[in-house]
Amino acid sequence: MSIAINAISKRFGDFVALDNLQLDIASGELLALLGPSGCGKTTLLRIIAGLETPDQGQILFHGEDATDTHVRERQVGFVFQHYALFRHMTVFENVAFGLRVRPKKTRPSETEIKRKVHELLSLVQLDWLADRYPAQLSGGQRQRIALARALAVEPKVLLLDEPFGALDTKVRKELRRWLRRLHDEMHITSVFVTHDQEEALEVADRVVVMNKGKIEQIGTPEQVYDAPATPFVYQFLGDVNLFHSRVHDGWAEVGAARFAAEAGDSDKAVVYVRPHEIELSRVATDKAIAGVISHSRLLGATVRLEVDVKDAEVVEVELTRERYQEGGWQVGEPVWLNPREARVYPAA
Amino acid sequence: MSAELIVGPDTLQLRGRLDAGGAAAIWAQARSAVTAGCVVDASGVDYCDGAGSALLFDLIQRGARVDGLPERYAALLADLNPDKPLTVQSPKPHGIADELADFGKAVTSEFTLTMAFIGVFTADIARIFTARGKIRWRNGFAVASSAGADALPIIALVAFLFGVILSFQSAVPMRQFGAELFVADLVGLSLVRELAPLMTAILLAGRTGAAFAAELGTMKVNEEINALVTLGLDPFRFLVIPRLLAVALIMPMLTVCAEVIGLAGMALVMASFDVPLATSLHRATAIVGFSDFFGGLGKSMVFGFFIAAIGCLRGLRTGAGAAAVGESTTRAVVSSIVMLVVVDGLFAVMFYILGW
Ligand SMILES: Nc1ncnc2c1ncn2[C@@H]1O[C@H](COP(=O)(O)OP(=O)(O)OP(=O)(O)O)[C@@H](O)[C@H]1O
Ligand SMILES: [Mg+2]
Repeated sequence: MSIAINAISKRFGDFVALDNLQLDIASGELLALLGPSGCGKTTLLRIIAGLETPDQGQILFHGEDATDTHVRERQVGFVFQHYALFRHMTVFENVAFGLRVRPKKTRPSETEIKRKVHELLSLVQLDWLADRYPAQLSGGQRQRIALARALAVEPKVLLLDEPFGALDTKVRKELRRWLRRLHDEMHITSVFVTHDQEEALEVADRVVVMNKGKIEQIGTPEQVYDAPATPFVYQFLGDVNLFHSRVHDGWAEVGAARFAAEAGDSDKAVVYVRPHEIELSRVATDKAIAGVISHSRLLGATVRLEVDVKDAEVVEVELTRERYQEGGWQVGEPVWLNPREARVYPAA
Repeated sequence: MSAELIVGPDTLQLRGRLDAGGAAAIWAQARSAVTAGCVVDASGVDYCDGAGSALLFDLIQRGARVDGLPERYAALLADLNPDKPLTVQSPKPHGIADELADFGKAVTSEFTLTMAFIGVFTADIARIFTARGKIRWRNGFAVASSAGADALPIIALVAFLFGVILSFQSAVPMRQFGAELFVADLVGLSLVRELAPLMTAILLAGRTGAAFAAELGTMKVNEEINALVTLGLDPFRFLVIPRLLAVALIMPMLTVCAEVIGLAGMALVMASFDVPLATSLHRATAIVGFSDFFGGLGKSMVFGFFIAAIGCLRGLRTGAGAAAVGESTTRAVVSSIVMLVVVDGLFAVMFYILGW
């Protein structure tokens, strides 16, 4: 089922939580809502589900206005940020609940319910936990049960609020691959919220980057990573160094380095460079920035150097471990920085 | 990197860190160099705190214009805008009249809220009886059996104590008039008409009403209520109505238990005053009429509705966070007891008018 979000606004008192959002979600798509904490992701998801009413705007489900449709009739599956499993029911009962409470006419038979629940539990690979209570499960297991419960009612739309938020990196990775596979099997229109850019880029068909109640960019993971529409998107999708500069003849200058800029002459500009897109060298070239290595830190397979540069805050440079060792870089050594890629945005 | 000041014609260029040390170092020089209408270029500032903004403010007051201050520090300066004098808002003095007004508002809003809830409930009850089969009787029975059975021991204990104390305290003076036989009348009537229903209700408010508020509040906080709704259930029908009916059902039963046990306590005391068990029990049952008994039970049923309604209402209106659950629980108990007193008063007036 396709969803259209049409000029939705929501305020809490004076605070604008969502500001005139426009978003189309295609049928069968897996969409990620990405943004920092408090930017309105949960609020948007709750409005889609009908748990919250927008102050303005419309929600269309499959082209039909669903703004006034009650949650109970929207047929959405919602996986809550903190699972929200029914504590006094076993895992089996939790998953079966949505089917049990249907009116008699549409309620499946007891054997049918049993079959279905076990099918779902094996889908989330937790069949062996059917008789436990939620309190006896780990966070990741609860998360998967919550997903199975949402899927049991065969929702037309699946909404997941930070489904892997409370988990450690390893389980997260496992679960997000699993979610992707699940989506590929079932093709339910799904929206999932996250503030982890890696998760969004890895799993989603399209990514919506939000900030302060506004959408900054909508695009495929490649689009948002390779062509960030705004400085915010650029900064949010990974570490970045910034240099302040002024534009002269279409070039933003940072030390001796120059970057093509679209801003007008003598406008201020900010140059963004990602840490792994900087080359280090000991030889002065005419387009390099001079600095002194002040720190080095080993982060697993990569090494992160901090370089003090005149006119800027500390610049971070990321190297693979081999290149770091080949180069034999030392703290306190003067170096030249050569950005391979950079983006120039007019200063706000 | 500390602060640096470069003086040019009609411009001052500030660079580096404008913290207490940096600002102090260049303050005197900046002050002497500043002229009205000159531009302070602060684009090279890479740190600025209160001290730095004080310097900038000083320069502005001497007629300079600050330009290019990084946006994250501009907010500091915005509040020092000389066109907008600093104002400190002192809270309004809060007199006794205001306190009273606040209290009055709180009471009325509480009352309207509860009434609205009961209104919705009544409408729903009507719908149940017309379009049957939607209510979870099984949930209701589960709540009734657990709430009733759990409350019975404490109710029995308190009722027994009531019977004993009441009869003992009245028997001592009555004996001086040789009227200890009438203690049975007094205790029997007051237990059945007033004390047993009210005491049972207060105990149930503390136990079951609070439990409902905590239970539903926890469900609310954990978003279980929202989960119910997305699964297509109406929490009002699924959670509230079974509880209301359950409590309305067990209240009269518990009241009868309390009456019986209270009378037993009374009989025991009377036996110690040499009145035979059979005599005192006979007197007590003879004086209690049909209307006294069923009036008490009807009252207890209404009390039950209110207790459950307020408990559920408080639970469903719980805010965010675990602390909110505790708050709802307390408020549930307090509002129920206040409500019981009010409703009991209304019943007293009604019974008086009816001549029961
Ligand atoms: N019921 C409410 N009343 C007042 N303000 C609210 C309410 N719900 C949310 N907000 C505010 O709206 C903003 C957006 O909240 P929301 O829960 O959508 O954030 P989020 O993007 O999901 O953040 P997180 O990643 O931390 O979960 C927040 O600043 C929050 O304080
Ligand atoms: Mg959230």
